[in-house]
This record gives sequence, structure tokens and C-alpha cells, in this order.
Amino acid sequence: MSPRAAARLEAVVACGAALASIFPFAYLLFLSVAAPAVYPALFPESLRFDRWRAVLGAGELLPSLAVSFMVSTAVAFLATSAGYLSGRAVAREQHPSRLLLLAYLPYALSPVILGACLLFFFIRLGLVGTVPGVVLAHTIPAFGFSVVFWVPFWNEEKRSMEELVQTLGGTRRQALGRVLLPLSREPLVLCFFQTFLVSWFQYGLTVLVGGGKVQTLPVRIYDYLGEADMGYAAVASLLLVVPPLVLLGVNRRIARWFL
Amino acid sequence: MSSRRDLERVGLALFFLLAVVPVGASLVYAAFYAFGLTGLLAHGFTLSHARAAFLTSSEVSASLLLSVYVAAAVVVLTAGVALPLSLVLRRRLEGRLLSAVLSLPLALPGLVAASLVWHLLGGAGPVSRVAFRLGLIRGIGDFPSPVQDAWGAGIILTHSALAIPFFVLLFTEIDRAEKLPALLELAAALGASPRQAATRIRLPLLLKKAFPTLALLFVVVLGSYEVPLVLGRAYPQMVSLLVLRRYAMFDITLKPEAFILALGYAALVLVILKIAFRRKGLRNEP
Repeated sequence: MSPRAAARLEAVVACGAALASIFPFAYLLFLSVAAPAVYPALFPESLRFDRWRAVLGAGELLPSLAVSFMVSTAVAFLATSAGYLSGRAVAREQHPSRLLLLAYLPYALSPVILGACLLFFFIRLGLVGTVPGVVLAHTIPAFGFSVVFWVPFWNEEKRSMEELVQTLGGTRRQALGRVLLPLSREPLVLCFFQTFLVSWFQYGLTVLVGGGKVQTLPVRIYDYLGEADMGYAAVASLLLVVPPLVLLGVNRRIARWFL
Repeated sequence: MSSRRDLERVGLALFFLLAVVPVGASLVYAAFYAFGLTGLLAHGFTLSHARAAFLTSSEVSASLLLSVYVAAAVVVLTAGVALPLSLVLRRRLEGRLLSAVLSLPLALPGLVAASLVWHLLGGAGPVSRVAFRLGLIRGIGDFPSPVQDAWGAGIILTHSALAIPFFVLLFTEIDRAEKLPALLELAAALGASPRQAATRIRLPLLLKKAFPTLALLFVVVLGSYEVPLVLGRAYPQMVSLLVLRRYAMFDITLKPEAFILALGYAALVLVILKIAFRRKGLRNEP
């Protein structure tokens, strides 16, 4: 292939990949304002904004948005803080890889299967159908993620820093408060957002433990799909993708962390 | 010294409380239920539920096979598309704009992606309408929709579409981190043809480095729930769906089979994670 043809191919593929990445969001936006169209019409007869008015004005989805936000924030706080300490403890163990494998399990296992096997305990503890129950259920996979996130952070370099502070007369608390926590600020923010998203996207586990009483945004999306109301499903979907999109826009490190 | 140990003790206690106890309790409870040691119908240890699940009924085996097939297909399709894309886009991805745009699908949850595929590729969806207008089909019934089809095409398509942009970025990052262009130049200087360099150096290295992440993709798809819930068939169902259906069924005699399937699935995940660990690659290992 000539260099010119290769450059052209590269440009075409780049445009195609970019369009394919943007398309789902643009199409959701279109669906959220499109009136139903009878088969085989290609385009809706009109555009309607009543769904957005119902959501933003009458507050149709705002309670679900608030519940989702509350649950995910609580999960992110619990998983990040507990994972921070656990990651440190696991990294300092003699065989961290064994514990790390255990940490992968709650994150890698299907949340729904794990939830089904744990539902008996949730029922006995009176947590089914409650927000704290859903928070606890979401925290299990989010915590696994958090530990996997923090173990590499607590490497030899951090241990040396801690020891250096002590050698220079600092206390353990000073090492943590003045050296390690400032160093952890950025990963703490990243981990908080990531664990927030682990919870934010949960559907199956919420339905299982929430028992239909805890109505988060993903639960509402599925309800709308069940009613074949793609317009409202699109509105709810857009609300669901806004926080992760904002996070990606604000801090590309979140995407880079995965890599 | 003591505060250090205290902090580590707290960390380990939290680890056991939030990771080991939930997973352990769920597996022990599932095993007890599956082998007749607990539950409403428990009459002591029995293998009859396991026999019923795997020998009498074909649904459990079909579910496991479908899940493994879908997960394998997603991994193959994702790697098969993302690898050449990353090679073609390597230079362009050095710029920030394209990599930023390609990371957008990371913000798309499976449920939303599945609902889009359900709408776009369903019998009455826009693609079917275009096919009708072009005279390719005579009505909704003629449209070969991948939604709820026998081969799980809609599920495979959705998971792959979500994973491909991520793997394009991952392969590009590996390419950069491993300094593959320099390695390929060296290979060329030593007489390797571009084809040899690509097939014997670049592809094996990229796949080796990405193996743990591909293994995790397999595990995630294997246990996925939302996408097959929207796009899958009633029979056979993927593992997560069947476990939940058997668990919540009115006929409680089928409940132990849900736990048999859950145990089989957990064993499979453990084996895959062990393999991924053995290959040294779950990248976060200290």
C-alpha cells in the first residue's frame, strides 16, 4: 500500500471510530425528543420535549436520580476508605498475590449470582428492600475493585517514605497525615469516582436486594424498556451517562487508569 | 510500631469482612443448599440435585455452554477488531482528541448499550426500516434481527461494541510502553519482512501483555446479566439469568439447581483468575 493510500485509510478509520464512539450519545439525545414513528417511517413526525419537561420540571426521574446519587456516594466513600486501608494491609502481607486473588473474586464474580447466594443473609439481617441493604450489596464488588486499585499504590517506595519519616523523628500518624495522605490525594479521587461508577451502573444487584423498593436510575431504565417507552428510557439513560461523561471530560486519568 | 500494626489489623479485618466473608458465606451457603444440607427441602447430604441439574435437565448445561460460547466469541471478536484498529490508528492516537473520543464508550453502561441495540436492531427498529425501504425485506418478520436470536448475536455484538474502544486504547498503550516500533525497526534491520514482524513480534507481544485483561473480559461477559436480560432468549439463558430465575421460581424444588449452577460458575471464574494470575499478569500485582 502506498503511503498516501495508507494515510487515507488511517483517516477514514479514525473518522469511523470517532463517529461510532459518539453515535450512542447522539442517538440517545435524538430518541429522548423523538415522537414515536409508525413502521416503516424512518423519521418521527415531530420532536417533543415533554419528556424532558416531565423529568426536569415535574421531577419524574429526580427521586431515582437522588437515590442513585446517594447510594453510589455512600458506596464510593465506604469502598474507597476501606480499600485504602485494606490495600495497604494486603500489600504488606508476605504473600500479597493470594489475598489479591481473593480481592478479585467479589469484583469478578457476577454481582447477581453473588447477590442471589447472599440474599438469605440479607433477608435475615432485614436489609432487603432498604437503601442500606443496597449500599452494602454494592459495596462488596466496589470494595474488591478498591483493594485491587490500592495494592500497587502501597509499594516499596511508600514503605520507604514511611520509614524515612520515622527515622527523622516523625510519628506514624505524621507519616500518614503529612506524607502518605497528600500523596494519595489523586488516587483517592480516582478510586472514589471509579467505585462510584461501579455502584452507579448496577442494575441486577439493586433489583435483587432492593426488591423493587429502591428505585435507582438503571431500575427505571429497565422499567421504561419493559413498557417499550424508548423515549423515557433514553432520557433516563442520558441522566445515567452524564456523571461518567463529566468525569471522563474533567479527568482523562480515569480512562488511563484502566490502561 | 503498635499503631502500624493496628492500622494493618484494621485493614485486614475490613478485608475479611468485606471480601472474604461475603464470598465465603455465599459459596458455603450455595454448597449447603446445592447438596441438601440447608433449605426447605433439605434431608441431609445428597447429590441428587447435581445429578438433576447436569444429567436429567439439559438447561443447566446449555446455559453454561451458551455463557462460555458468548464470552469466548466476545473475546475473539474484540481482540480481532481492536488489534488491527490499534495498528491502523497508532499514530493518530498519539494525539489527545481521538483517544478522548474513543474513551467515551467507557461511560456507557451495559444496560444502556443493550437498550440501544434492542431499539436499533429490533424487528421494527431503524435498521429494519431502512432495509424495508431499500426493498431488502418485505416486512418486520423478514428482518434477521440479532435481538433474542439463537446464537446470542445481539449479546455478543453489544459486549464487543463496549469493549473494542477500550482494547484499541489498551493495545496502543502497550505498543507505546513496550516500544514496539523500535523493536520492529530492529527486526526489519535484521531482515524480517513487515508481515513477519507483525505476526511474529507485534501480535504475540500485544496479545501476551493483554492476556490478563482479555481473561477479565471473558469473566465479566460470562457472568453478565443486564445485556442478556434485554437481548437474550428465554432458552437457553446465560448463567446469571438462569441462576436468578431458578432461585426465584415458584417451584422450590428447582432452587438447589440454581446453587449448583452458581457453584459451577464460581469454580470456572476461579480457574480463569488463577490462570490469569499464573501468567503474571493481573497487572496490579505489586
